[in-house]
Amino acid sequence: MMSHKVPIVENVLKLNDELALQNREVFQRAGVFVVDLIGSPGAGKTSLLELTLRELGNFLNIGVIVGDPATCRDGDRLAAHSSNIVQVNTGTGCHLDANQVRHALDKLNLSDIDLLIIENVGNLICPVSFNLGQDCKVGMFSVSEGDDKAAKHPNLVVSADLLLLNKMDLLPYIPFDLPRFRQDIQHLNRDAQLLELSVLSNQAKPWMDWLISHSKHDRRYSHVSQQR
Amino acid sequence: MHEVSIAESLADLIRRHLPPHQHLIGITVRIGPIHGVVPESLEMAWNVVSEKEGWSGSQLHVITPPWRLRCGACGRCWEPVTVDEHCTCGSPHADIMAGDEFVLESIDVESAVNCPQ
Repeated sequence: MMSHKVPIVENVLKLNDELALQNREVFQRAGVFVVDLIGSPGAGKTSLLELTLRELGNFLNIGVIVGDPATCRDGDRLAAHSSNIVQVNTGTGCHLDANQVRHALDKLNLSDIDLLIIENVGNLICPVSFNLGQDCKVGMFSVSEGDDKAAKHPNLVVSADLLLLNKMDLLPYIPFDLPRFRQDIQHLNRDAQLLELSVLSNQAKPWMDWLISHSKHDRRYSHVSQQR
Repeated sequence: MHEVSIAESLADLIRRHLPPHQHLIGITVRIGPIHGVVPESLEMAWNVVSEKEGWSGSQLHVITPPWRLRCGACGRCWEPVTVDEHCTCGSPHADIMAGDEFVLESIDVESAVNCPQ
């Protein structure tokens, strides 16, 4: 039998990208600012969102899609602060993809939401490659993970519009070379902004300010900064 | 284990491109190291996914291009051993020029019908 080569040269995740583009069109039509929050398990993503809902919930209508392999524990935690929470269980899947987000959107009324945060499955590698239709990708590290995690996960550092370093309040107790961590980020993404937070000590004002200033509604919600 | 998702994504893409009455016998992908894909794991995942698709025995060829950085200060380009390597000029800034590829390059097919001699 005759065999031959058929050139393709297309992005491996082209179909996911097409769905992400559809999601993005839905978000834009609804005027919703969307953040994809990526970090390892235990970095403090859900705690950050709890604090965010507490701090900004009176000023912004915030929805959350939260991905976990199993359980509704994170969804339940967040549901104490907002009714616009959708828990997605991915089973053995190590990331959310655009199709899962599209289905999760069926459970949200986007016209009631100004800001949608998608808390991805705890993982520093797999979620980075799968676009969801977000406006911004945010990477979250924490002091307790060690100072080498940015260097070891370059795709997240390069892809992120914003990077967070949580658990700064543990710095006196844990060996962590902060200048080196900052330099690793600068090496690969000199445009990335790094915000240093201590979520459980309620030290996350730079994140709240970033959310407000980057929201498409920042003019509509300009009073938020003044009231807080 | 995002290799399974990647293998499934490859199958979705190939279904779009596989010419009628052709049998898939191989695929070639170019995946840069930034994606953290382990070729051996992708091969295992591809074996499972391709069998489900009726493409049993189709060979997966993974091309892993090396990292290539360009210094943000002096413009020098080099292939670092690891991506956190700094330029010899001492600048801490670099741009990734290669190593982030994620492409289905080609598929190898053969006619499912014998050609007349």
